[in-house]
Amino acid sequence: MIEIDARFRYAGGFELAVDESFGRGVTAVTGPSGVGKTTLIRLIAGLLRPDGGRVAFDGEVWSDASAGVWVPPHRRGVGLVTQQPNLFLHRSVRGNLAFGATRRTGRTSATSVTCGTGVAEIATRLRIADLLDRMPSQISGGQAHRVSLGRSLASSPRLLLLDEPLASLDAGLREELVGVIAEVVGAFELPTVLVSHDEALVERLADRVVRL
Amino acid sequence: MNWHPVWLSLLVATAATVAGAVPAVGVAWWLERRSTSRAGGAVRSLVETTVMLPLVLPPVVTGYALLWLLGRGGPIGRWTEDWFGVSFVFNWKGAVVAAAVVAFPLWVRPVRAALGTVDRDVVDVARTLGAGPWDAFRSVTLPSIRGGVAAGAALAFARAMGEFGATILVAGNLPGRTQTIPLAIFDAVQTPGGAAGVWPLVAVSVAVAAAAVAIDRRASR
Repeated sequence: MIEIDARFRYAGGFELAVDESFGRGVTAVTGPSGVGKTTLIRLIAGLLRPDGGRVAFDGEVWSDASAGVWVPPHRRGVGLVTQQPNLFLHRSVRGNLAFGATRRTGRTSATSVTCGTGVAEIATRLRIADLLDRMPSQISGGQAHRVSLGRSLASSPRLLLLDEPLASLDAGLREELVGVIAEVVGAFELPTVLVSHDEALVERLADRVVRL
Repeated sequence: MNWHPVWLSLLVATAATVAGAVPAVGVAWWLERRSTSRAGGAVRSLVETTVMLPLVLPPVVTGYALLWLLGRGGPIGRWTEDWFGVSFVFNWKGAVVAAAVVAFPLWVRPVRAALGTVDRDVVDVARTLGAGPWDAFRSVTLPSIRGGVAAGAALAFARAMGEFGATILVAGNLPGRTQTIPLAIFDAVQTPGGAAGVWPLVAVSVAVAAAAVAIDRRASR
């Protein structure tokens, strides 16, 4: 359960205020562009610090401006998948997948649903097992997106954040990746927040829809 | 042929480049982060100007400022002398400081340019994957600015090899002790009949400079 009741002020003076709580399963967040969907994702991930209010996950306070509580992003255990694959270009596919997996220590991995799921198993499930020794420059765009998804799953996240995961893909690849995402989200039973304009994806994945 | 100036120059330039590495990457990173964050302003401008100043100041002026700071009784010199018994005036260590300060802007610029091309989103992903700020810098940012670091090191090294004005004020021109290649060339030209000894020194200077430009070109591609 994510509880977020926070304010964030942009450099231009515009202020985003959200007061939502998302339960288990997949919550789709929709709304017109510029309404602050990505900001919401970044507040939950800890990549932005709210100017006021509170963010909590499963009773654990991640951010509370008035109490001075702040859990930095690397201690939150969230998996973030964005529009671009954002792979580490200097590491092989295996190196990308292992990045979060090897930094798992220090996390509350006991509560993590995917705990124990190794890099190899995730690679097999995402059908990228034969790419492990390639560099990101040697794989296709669709494959890069699957590696990106696999990389966050391999870090044993407690919460998955998908921010327009398909927006940069053409129709054929989008179809394929919708299937892959539906499969892994179902298999890992991860609480997920999904931001997407893709109605097919929202329809297929979301247990509930929140409109900002 | 007296090769001492060549060895001394190589030693001084290497030491100046190595000494500048961590501060250069640190300052470049700080400036780049400041230029993209919500805060910013006066402190950044001040640091930016101070760091870039040796690039445009006459080196003799930089040298005079260093001589004043590091000299006996100077604000820094007094302190290093009292606490560590180290003096930076009229010895090779002074030549290192002079070269490091004058070369510093050339160290910072390519690193900063490289940092400007680092994708924030990729660093952010690393943070969510469990990397702390320092870990993310080391394992994601640093590998992607390798070219800029190589270019900065090469240019700083070449500039340090050629340092004259600041060096002669801080370290003096003592043959066999602080006489680097440029100072040796200067002396040789001033000595009647000494110009013949200049050519090997000129050759070394040109070779180092050409290598630095080549590394910069390669790395900046």
